[in-house]
Amino acid sequence: MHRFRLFHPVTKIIFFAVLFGIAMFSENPVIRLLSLAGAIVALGVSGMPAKKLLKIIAGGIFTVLIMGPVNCIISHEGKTVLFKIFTMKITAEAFWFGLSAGTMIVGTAIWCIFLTDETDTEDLVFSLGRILPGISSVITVTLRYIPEIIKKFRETYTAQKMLGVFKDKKFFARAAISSKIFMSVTERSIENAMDTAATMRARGYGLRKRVPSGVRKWRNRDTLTVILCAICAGAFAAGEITGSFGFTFYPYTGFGAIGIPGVAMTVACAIFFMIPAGAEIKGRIRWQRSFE
Amino acid sequence: MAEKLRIENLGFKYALGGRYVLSGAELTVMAGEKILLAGTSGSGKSTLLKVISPATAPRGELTGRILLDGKDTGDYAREEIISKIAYVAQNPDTQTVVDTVTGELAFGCENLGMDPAEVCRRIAWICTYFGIEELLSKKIAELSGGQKQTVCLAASIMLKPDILLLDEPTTYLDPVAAVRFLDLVANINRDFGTTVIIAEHRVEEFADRFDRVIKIENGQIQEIDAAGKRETDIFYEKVFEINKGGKASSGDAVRVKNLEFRYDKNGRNVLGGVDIRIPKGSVYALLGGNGCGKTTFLRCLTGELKSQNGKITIEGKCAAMTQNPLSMFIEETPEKDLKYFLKQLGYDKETGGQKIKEISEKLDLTEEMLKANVLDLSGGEIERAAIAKLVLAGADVMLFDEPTKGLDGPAKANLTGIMRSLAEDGYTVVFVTHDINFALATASRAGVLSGGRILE
Repeated sequence: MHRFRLFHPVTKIIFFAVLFGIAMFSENPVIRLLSLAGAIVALGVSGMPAKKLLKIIAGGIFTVLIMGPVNCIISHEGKTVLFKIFTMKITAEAFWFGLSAGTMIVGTAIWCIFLTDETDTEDLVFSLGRILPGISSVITVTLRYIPEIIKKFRETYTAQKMLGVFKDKKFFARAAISSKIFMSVTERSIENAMDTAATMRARGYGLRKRVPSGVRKWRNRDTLTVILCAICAGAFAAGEITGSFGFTFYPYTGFGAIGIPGVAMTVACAIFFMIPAGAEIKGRIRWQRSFE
Repeated sequence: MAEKLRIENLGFKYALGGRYVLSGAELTVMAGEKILLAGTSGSGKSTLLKVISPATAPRGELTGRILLDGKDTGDYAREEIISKIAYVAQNPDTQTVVDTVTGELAFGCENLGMDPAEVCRRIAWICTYFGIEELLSKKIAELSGGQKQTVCLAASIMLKPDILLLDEPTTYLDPVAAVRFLDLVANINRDFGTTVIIAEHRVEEFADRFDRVIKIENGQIQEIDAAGKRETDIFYEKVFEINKGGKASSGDAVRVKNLEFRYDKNGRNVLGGVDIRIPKGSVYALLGGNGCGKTTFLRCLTGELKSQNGKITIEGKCAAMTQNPLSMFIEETPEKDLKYFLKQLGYDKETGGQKIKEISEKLDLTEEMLKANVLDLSGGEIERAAIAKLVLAGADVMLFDEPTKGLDGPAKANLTGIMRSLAEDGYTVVFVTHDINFALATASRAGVLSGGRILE
């Protein structure tokens, strides 16, 4: 249903800024696991086909599992030596650290997939348009041009291929022709841009300060989400500063003393990571109820 | 009707041009009039439309006067002239500016600092009027040519202009989309009283849709009577009659048996068992409605698409010209491109030069054309250069996808001559087109693709 798409662009920016801040900078494996779980649930309930989701999860598990041994080879810190390869110590701490880092990488990557699913350029243009209308125009014009150049490149490449230009050519010769095609397409796009610039002028571009027209209303859900973001960011900062939910990997892996700010931080993060899934589930319940 | 626009003794010379494109042009347009502007390629149609509004006028020397509602267009404030005169150019790809349809529609209004709520109201109104609600959530890159041009038209109407100037807006559209587009323009003219001036090369075809037809010749404007000259007789029976005549052939250049193709595994068959034999040395026209699979068929012949079933046999080498002949050139000028191309094919400089000379003479490619930037060549000229490339590629079977797109009458006639001449030289020419008149004038055999099959 993609309910999160309906949130105000500013809300989405705040949410993802806080999310990536926590997911990437927290070394706490519990927080990392919560982030990963939240990302998977968010993708799952937002309507991603099961097959695609399972592929992502399988790829994620593989990455997490591979990161453990990889880190063991790179890092030899830690006191619990599992075994030695020649003089190289393979430690349990390095293995756990690798798994934790893998969880963070996979969690962040899945959140990125969710981000691209739930936001579009209009969100960006809307947000930027208020502050930097010039930059916002440049972005939107660029976004128009990139697919155009790709389309023209494909078209020209196919035409050249059908003429037999690539026939019996080795890799480097093919690459040279391809780069020539790319240069040609780019040059023509620049020439065409002169026409586009004339069209822009004819439509009043540059006459006065642009007023972006996108109308997005701020709703209660936005207020609630921003408040949750603030609470979570605050709780996270408090937990990190006081070190009350400490976790160390080296020299030994284990939790330190768990204080109230640490528990609050974990609960707040768990709720925070579930915001997109919660919004989606709420939307589904409402949808079901509309038929009752 | 009140006078809306008056052009008095207008002359115009481009900043880098040596001659006056317009010279002593006179025209009076009444409010709410719908005028078709005719003229050959390079006669000055586009220049006239562009100089009417100072917002679109190219750099150059302008003489005479252009009065809008009795006031010189140069005396209007820029915001005012932009709101009063809208301009839609030929190529929708170069006049769409932003990445989304909503953004494109809002662009002009945003530039004029209009209240966002009013912009949204206008977008809603325009979408309802044009019936393009479903396009609102789309990206420009996802639209077809016809949809893009409709969005350009809608965007130009957003500012509620008094005058709508359209420069060959149907050039890149197929006939069905072109007629739909012109219907939209007619509706705008009727419903809002917008004065319309449209440059178009298919004069006979569309003349009866306009109040007046004017023509630019030698830089001057004259009124012409194009009514009743419509040549089109869209009867497919005529197409099938082509196959009744024709000379005996020495064999088949193309044999297709039970060709099946679909884009999606579970989708419908675009080609559902095509059987066809195209004789050597023939000019074969393949017609059919929009989206019937004509281009897909050509792409299967070239091997670009692999069919799911069936067999294609082509005697000799096959090469194709896509809908955009410009994509066949990767160098700045046709001459440089042909030299580079022959070098890639393994010819030495001397043999390559000789080959270029021979084909240029045959296709009437002048020295001036060969040395010109490909972007500066007319549609007909670039097609001739592209055909030269097909011949140099050693193609025995030449495939053309919509070769008349954007060509005016003389250029089409020229193409007919070239295709026939190629067939006489033993080449086999296959082209897909919407243009029945061109097919009737050019082809020695023809078929209609319908329901995934070719009917002859």
